[in-house]
Amino acid sequence: MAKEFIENYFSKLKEVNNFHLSMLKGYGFKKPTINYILLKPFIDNAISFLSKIDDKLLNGLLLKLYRDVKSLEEFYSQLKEKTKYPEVIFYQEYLETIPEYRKLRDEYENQKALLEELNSKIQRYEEQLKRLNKDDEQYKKTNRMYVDSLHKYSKIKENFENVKNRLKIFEDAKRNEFLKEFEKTRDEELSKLEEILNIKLFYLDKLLWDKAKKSFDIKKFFSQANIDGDFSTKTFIKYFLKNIDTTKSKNKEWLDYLKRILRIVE
Amino acid sequence: MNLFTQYTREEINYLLSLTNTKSTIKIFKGLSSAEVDEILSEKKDIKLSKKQSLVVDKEFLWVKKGEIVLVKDKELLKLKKDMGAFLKVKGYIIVGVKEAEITMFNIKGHNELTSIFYKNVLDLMVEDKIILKG
Repeated sequence: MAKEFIENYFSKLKEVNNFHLSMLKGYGFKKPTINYILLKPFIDNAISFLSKIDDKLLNGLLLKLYRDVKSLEEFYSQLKEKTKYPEVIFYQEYLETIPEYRKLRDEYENQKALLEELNSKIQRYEEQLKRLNKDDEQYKKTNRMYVDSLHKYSKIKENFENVKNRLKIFEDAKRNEFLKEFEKTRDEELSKLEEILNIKLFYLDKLLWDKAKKSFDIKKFFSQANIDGDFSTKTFIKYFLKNIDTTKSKNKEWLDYLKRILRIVE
Repeated sequence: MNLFTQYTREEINYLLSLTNTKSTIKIFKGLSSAEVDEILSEKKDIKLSKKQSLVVDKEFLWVKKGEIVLVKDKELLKLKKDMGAFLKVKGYIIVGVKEAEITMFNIKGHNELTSIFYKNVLDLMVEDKIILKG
């Protein structure tokens, strides 16, 4: 039952992974030796920067691949967030699919509501009894109802505790099996999607610089800005590092990031 | 959010070309079996003498990684059976497939055989989704 639920839960992710992996592996796309996911913010920045120099840069295949990567990245982030707390999924989604559990849970809720209702009745009777004279007929009548309610409350309470117990035993019995299987599938499938993103980002980076080196405006910019080196992310990181205003505190985080990714690409 | 972006064969070829630097296919004629053995045992590159003409030189963007297909003395190793039937009849051919480079040797063949063999290899690659350009 848990397996079936988990299979359904991750079916879209599996479908997406299979679609892309069969294309990437089938055609022999190369896996990069470095983690391009870490470079993604810089690649985004480079695309935006270079597009301002040449507004025709981001079109055709580059635009298609860029959008493809963006969609997959969004999908990845959403899923990562959504599956962060498997316990919540267990209680709010998985258990709800089990009829036996739903029946027990409904019983629990009903008993709980009954107890609350009786409790407020008992409190009302107690208030009334305080105000009435013990010799009054009304006092005796209210007292009878009060005693009846107390009796009824203790009987329901006993049953309620029993249902509560059964509910807990049920949850405990299912929880470990579910969490183990869920986390295993989640980690496996998300890492496949990471692999896909990594390969696609690698090719996006290659394509970006392949197009950039053919662009008249970008070539002119490189020459005027005295950028040494080939048309690559590595060269461009160095250019950014050289030109960043380190006196501005808002640039500190970006500067640290650039230094970190430069070590990755070197 | 489109999660199933499809790429055309042309687009895939272009992307693959961005990471493939070694990509030649060469068909050689007139090598002796001793030369072939030497090549296979030492795995060294073949240098063409003036007499040995390079028949075809085309670019390939991808081939099966690390796979070596060998046909020798009518013995067929790692090649599809339809190709095998053809080669068993015609004789003595070695196909080396390594990384992004394919090297084919037609030892006792002639031009017609070479071209048929070449065509068959191309068909095989299309079947296996091996991409080629040129």
